[in-house]
Amino acid sequence: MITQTVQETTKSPRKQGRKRSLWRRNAIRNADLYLFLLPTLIYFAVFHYAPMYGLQIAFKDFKATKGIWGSEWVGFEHFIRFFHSAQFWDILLNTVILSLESLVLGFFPPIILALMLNQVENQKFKKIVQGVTYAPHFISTVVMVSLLYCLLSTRNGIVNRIIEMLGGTAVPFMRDAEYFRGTYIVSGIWQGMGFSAIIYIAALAGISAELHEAAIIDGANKVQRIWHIDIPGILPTITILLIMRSGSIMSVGFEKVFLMQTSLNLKRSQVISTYVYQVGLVDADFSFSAAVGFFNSIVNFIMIMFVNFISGKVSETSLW
Amino acid sequence: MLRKSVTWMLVVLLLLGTLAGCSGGGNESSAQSTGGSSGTEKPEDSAGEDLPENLAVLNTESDYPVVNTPITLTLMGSRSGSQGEWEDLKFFKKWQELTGITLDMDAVLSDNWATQKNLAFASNTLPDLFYAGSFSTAEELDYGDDQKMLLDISGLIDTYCPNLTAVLEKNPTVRSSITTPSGAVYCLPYINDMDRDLTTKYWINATWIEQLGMETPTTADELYAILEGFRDQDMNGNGDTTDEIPFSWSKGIENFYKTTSWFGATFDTSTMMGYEDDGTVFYGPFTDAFKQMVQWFANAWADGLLDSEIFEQDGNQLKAKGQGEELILGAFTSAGPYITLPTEYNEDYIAIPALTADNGKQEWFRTSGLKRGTFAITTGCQYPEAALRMVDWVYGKEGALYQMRGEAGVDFVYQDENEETCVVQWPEGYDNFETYRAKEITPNSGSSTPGIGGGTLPQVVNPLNDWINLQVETQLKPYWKLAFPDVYLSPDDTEKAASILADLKNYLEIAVGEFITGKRDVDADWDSMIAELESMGAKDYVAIYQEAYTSWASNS
Amino acid sequence: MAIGKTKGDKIFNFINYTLLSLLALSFIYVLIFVISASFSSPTAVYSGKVVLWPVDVTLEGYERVFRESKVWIGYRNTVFYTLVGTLLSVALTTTSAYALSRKDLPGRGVVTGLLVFTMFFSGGLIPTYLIIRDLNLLDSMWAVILPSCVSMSNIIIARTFFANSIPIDLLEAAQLDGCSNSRYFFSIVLPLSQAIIAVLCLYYAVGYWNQYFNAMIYLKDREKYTLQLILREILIEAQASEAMTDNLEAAQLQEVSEVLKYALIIVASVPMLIIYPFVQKYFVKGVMIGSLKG
Repeated sequence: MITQTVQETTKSPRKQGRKRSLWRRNAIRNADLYLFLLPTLIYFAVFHYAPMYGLQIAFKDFKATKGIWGSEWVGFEHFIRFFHSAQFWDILLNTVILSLESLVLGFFPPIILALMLNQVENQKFKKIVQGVTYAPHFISTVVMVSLLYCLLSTRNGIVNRIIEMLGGTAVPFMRDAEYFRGTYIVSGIWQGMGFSAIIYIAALAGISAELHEAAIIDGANKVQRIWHIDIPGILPTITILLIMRSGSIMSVGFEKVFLMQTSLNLKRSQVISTYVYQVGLVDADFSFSAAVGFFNSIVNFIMIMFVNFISGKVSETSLW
Repeated sequence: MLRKSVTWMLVVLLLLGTLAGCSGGGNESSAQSTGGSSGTEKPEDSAGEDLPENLAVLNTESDYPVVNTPITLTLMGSRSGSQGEWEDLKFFKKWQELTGITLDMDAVLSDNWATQKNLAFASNTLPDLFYAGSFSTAEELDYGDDQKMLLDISGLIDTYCPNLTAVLEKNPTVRSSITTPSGAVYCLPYINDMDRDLTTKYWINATWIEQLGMETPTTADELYAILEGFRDQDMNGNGDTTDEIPFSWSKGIENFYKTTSWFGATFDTSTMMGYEDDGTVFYGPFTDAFKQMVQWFANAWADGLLDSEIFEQDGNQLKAKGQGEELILGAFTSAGPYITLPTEYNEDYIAIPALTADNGKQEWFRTSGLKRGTFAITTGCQYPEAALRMVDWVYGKEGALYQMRGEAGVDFVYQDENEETCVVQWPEGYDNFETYRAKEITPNSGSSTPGIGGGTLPQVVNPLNDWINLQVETQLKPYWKLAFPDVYLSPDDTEKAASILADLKNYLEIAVGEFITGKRDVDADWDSMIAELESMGAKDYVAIYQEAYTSWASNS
Repeated sequence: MAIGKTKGDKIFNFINYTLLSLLALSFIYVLIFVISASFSSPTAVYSGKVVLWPVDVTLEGYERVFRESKVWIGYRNTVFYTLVGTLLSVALTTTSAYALSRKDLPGRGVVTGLLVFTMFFSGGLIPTYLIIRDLNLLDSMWAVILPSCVSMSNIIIARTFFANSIPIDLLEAAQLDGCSNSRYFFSIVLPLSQAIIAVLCLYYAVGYWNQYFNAMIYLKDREKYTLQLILREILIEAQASEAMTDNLEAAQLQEVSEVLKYALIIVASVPMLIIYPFVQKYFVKGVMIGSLKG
C-alpha cells in the first residue's frame, strides 16, 4: 500500500483526484506523526521564524532607538558598498577557493577512514584508532593555530626538522601565500577527520549483517564487499552530507583564518569574514555585516538548491 | 455616613495625588533644563528644599560624600577576563563608600562587549552610566548627536568636575578631542600621561655596539652597519657567528610602518595619516620617507638582517628566542627588554634613538595617550550631576591613584616623605602586581577606565622600569611628534573612511610585504603601487581627514 | 564468520593495518605533544625544546586553572546543560526526523523546505535576543539550552538513517498487524536505531559541552556560566592584549595566560574523551534486524 503511494506519479486528472484523497487518507492515518513533528515545528517557529524579521536590517540603516521596524530603508546601499570594495573579487575568490578546496579534499578522508576502520577485526586496535582520531576535534582553534606555529616553524618546528633531515630545505608553511591554503586545509582535515567519520561508522553499522554473510559465502573478498555492499550502503548518507556541505561554500570560519594571517599570506588569506571584521572593527556596523551575511546566505542557499536538484536527478537522494 | 466620608477621603487623596503628580512633572522638566543649558549655575545652598531631586540629593557642604540621600545608579562596563568580579574589587567598594552612591553593576566580558552594548541600545535597556565602555567616535555621534541617548555633558563639566576641569585646562587639546563637531561632549576619556606607554620602543644591544667599536646610531645607515656587524660577528661569544638575529619582532606590519619616522615622516600607523605643521594632512605611504623605509627593509631582508620569522611569529615565539641559553637578539621591539629577555640583560639594551633622516628631520612618533569613550551618562539617568561628581574622583590625584594602585600603605607604600615614590606589594599567590591588581583592586588593569594615567602620580620604584623610562626620556621624548590628533569624523565619513581604509590597508600590507621580501622591486613597481592606492580612493580618504583635522584644529 | 581468508584479504588487511597505524601515530604524536606542552614552561614549548616529553616540568598551568573556583561551577553547570540539553535535543530530533522520513506523510516536503531555510537565513542576534527576553528566559538556564536546541542538519542525518536503514517491510508488517505509528516508532524503530541515536547524542553532547555563545549573550549571573565560557574568560587576555605591545602592564598580563593555554584544553576536553568509548559500543554491526524479521 505504501509503496503504491510512493510510485503514484502519473498526472491524469482522475489519478490526481485519487491522489488527493490518498493524501487526505494518509494525513488522517498518520495524524500521530504530525504530533511527532509538532514540538520541533514550534521550536523552529519561535526561535527561528519569529526573529526572521531581522533580515530586513541588511536593507536598512539600523538605528537602535528606532528599532528594526522603524529604521530607515536604504535598499541595497550596504550591498553596493560591499561589492564596490576594491578587494571584493579577491576576497570572494579567496573564500570560494578555500572552501571548495576544503570541501573537495576534506570530504573523502572521513569516508575512507570509516571504511578502513570498518574492516578492522581487532576491536582494541579499532577503538584506539577511532579514539585518537576523534580527540583533535576538541582542540580549540586558538590552540590549534598555536600548535601549527610550533610544529611548522621554519626554525625549530618538528616538521621542518624532519624535512631537513631528509635533505630538503625548510618550508615557510606559516608565512608564504602559496602555502596558506595547503596548511589551512590539511590541518583542518587532520583535526576534523575522526569526528566526521563517526556518522559514516554509524551508517556502516546500520548495514545488515546478512548482506555481508551472503557475500562471504559467495566468495567475495574485502575489497569487493567494500565496493558492492559498504559504499552503496552508506551512499545516501554520503550524498546527503555532500549536499549539506555544498551549502557552506561561502562560510569560511573567521577565527582560524584570522589567527593564521600574516602580511605575506594576506593575498590568499583575506576572506569575507576577516574583511567584515576589518571594516566593522572601526565601528560596529550591524547593517553592513547583516548585508554581507545575507549575500553569503543567498549564495549558499542557491548552491544547496542546485546540488540538491542535481542529486535528486542523478541519485534520487535529496533533501526533499 | 461612613460611605460619604470614605468618598470624601478618596476625593482628597485624588486631589493630593494629582498635585503631587504635577509637582513631580515640574521637577522633571526643570531637571531636564538643568541637564541641558542652565547647568552652569551652582545651586544655592539655602535653596535645598526647592531644588529638583537630582540636585537636592547632592551634598553641597563638602566634596564627599557626593550625595546626602543614598541613590543607586546602574552601570554597565567592559570587564577583561583577568579581572575579579567588579562587585568585589576594592576600587568599586571604596568609590561607592566615598560617594554614597550605590552602583548596580553589569560587567560584560570584553569580547562580548560590542554585542551587549548594542543590545542594550537596541532593546532599550540602558544603564545610567557606561564605565570603561569604549565607545567609538562614530558611536558617540550616533548615540549622542543623532539618537540623543547619551547625555551632552559639556555644560556640566565645569561645575561638577573640578578635577577634570583642571586637567583639561592643562591639556587644551584634550578638550577639543572630546568635543564633537557640534560642540557636545558625550564621553569622558582616559588620559594616559605615562611617557613610556605613548610610543613603541625598538631596543638594541648597546654592549654589542661597543664590542663592534661603533657608536649609538644617528642615522638609518649607521643602524644598518651595526646590524651587519651583529650578523657577521660572534656577538654572544659562543663560537658561532651565525646564531645572532640582528633584528626581530613579533608579527605586525605596523612595526615596519612605525619606523618611517627614521626616514623623515611621522604618521599614525592605524589610519596611516600624518600632519604637517602648516595644517595640511598627508597619507603616510605617499611620502618619500615611506619608500625609503621599504627600500631599507628590503635591503635588510635580502642581506639577512631580519629574522626570517619576522612576518609570522607571535610574542611567545619572540620571547622564546629571547629566553634561550644564548643571547641572540641584537635588536627587537617589545614593551621593555626584560619582557622579552632574561631580566639581567635589561640594561644592556637601549632604545634606538630618533634617527636623523635625509630630509633633515629628527623625530619619533608618539600617540596622544588619549582613550576616548570610556565614560558616558545616558539621557535616562536621573542624577547626571551626582554621576559627574562621582567620576570626577578618578581625574584627581587621590582617585586616580586608588583606581591605579589601590590603598596607600596596603597595596603600595610611599618611599619618601613627599610621597613622590612608592613601591607596590602583593600577597602570595600572584605573579606580579599586575595580576593582583586585576583580580582584587581595579578594572584599570585590562579595561579602558576613565581617569588619568600615572604620569603625575607617585612613581613606582622598579629598577627595570626605571631603565625603560630613562630610555624614553633621553632617546625618544626630545624628538616626539604627535602622530595624529584625535579627531572626529562624521558618521557618514566614518563609514566611507572605514571602507576605503580596509581596501588601502589590505593592498598596502600585501605590497609592502612583497617589496620587502623581494617579490617585487621597489624601484620598478613603486609608482604602480601608488597609482593603485589612488584608484582605491586614497585621495577621498585624505580629504575626509583634512576636513576633520581642520575642524579639530579650529576647536583648540 | 570465520571463513578462510583469501590471499587478497590478507594483503588488504596488511595495508589497512599499516596505514591506520601510521595515521594513528601522527595523531598520537600531536596529542602527546599537547599533553607535554601543558606540563612544560611556555618558553620551552615555543623554543622547540619540547619535542615529545615535557621540558622544564611545571604544574603551574593546572594549578592556575583549578585555583579559579569558577571552573568547578562551570563543570557542574556544563554537565547539567549537556545532560538536559542532549536529552531534549535527541528527543525532538528523532521524533521529527522519523516523521519526516516517512514518504507517506503529506506535507513533509514543505516542512523540510521550511526547516532547511533556517539553516541559511536567520534574523540575527537582535531579534533573537528580544524574543528570549520576551519569553522571560534571559538569565535562565534555558537560555543556554533552547536557542540552539535542534539542528536541522542533525534532523536530516537522522532522517536519512531512518529512511535507509529501517527496512520498509517492517512497517508494512506492523501496519497489517494494526500497530500505530507511535508504537511502531518506540518499539521497533528506536531499538533498531541505536547507532544513529548514539551519534546524535554525541553530536549534541559535544555541542552543549562546547557551548559558550548563548551563555555569553543571555546570561549575566556567573553562577550559571558554562565551563567553556569560564575558560574563555581565563584565556581571553592572551589574545586581547596581543596588540598592546607598547604597554608594559598589558605585556605582563599576557605572559600569565600563556601558561594556561594547553592546560585549559586538557581540562576542557577530558570528559568528552572519556565518554567516547561508551558511545562506540553502539556502533556494532547489524543490530538484531535479522531476528526481528524472523
